[in-house]
Amino acid sequence: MNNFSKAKYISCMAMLLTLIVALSIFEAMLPPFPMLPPGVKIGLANIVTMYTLFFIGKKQAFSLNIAKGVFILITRGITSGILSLCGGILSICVIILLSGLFKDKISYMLLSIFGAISHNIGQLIAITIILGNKYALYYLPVLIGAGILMGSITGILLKTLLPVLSYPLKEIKK
Amino acid sequence: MTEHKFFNKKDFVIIAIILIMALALFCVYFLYTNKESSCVRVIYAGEVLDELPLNENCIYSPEKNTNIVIEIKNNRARFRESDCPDKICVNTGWISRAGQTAICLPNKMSIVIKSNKNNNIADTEI
Repeated sequence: MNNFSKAKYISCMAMLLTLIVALSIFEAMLPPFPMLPPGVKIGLANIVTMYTLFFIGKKQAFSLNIAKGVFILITRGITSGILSLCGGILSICVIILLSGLFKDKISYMLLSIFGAISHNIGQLIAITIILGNKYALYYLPVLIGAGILMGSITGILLKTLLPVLSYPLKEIKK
Repeated sequence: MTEHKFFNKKDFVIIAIILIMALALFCVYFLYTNKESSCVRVIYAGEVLDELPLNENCIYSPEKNTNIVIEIKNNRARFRESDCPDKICVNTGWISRAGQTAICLPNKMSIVIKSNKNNNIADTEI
């Protein structure tokens, strides 16, 4: 990689991180949906994570997620930071595992849904450890249902946004 | 990463299976939580702070964090006020069935409805 393309690569990653952070902030600003159970969110930032994982690379997806976790740690406190990291890392691991196991037989949609569910489960495990009691686990069925719904939404959004998002990809791969 | 199709028809089947599993889990929890609830247990980071009777209306603030206000009224309990940013605990609303919980994660505070029978799943500690 020469200096020019390296600069392009770094700025692309920085833009993706900015996108993740901006989407997280935007989502936190939205009022809670009246129909949804408390604590359930769309997970818009997952679109960027999945995009990075599917089309750029595993290493980059992990590092973006850790950077996001650190950002949340600084701005929203240690609990939110740990939750974000646990959910994000587990979700990426599950997607990589499923993708490796089933190769091209599994669809992006299903990967997105499993990613969302495992994101919720990762957070639930962290919550259980932080609270020191198992009562949060009663929320598991709700979170699995929410994972299916939100995973579908982010999957469809990723599909819709792909033509726009493929620009930085071309620049990196040059 | 390998290239994938965006959507397979088989996905519906897999989604349906997961949904049914989640529903089954929900039913199991629902059957285990019963209506014979007697008191509210206030827990801070795994430590039981207090137990309040459900049949006496009261407003309570734990000594560990006086910014939290727990309200008990008509055999139901809720987080009335909290200083946390997301207010998930307050939005959970009233809880009344034994085994139901409301959690304020930033403050590590949770309230659990306990039953007077000891054979409840909510009474077995980990």
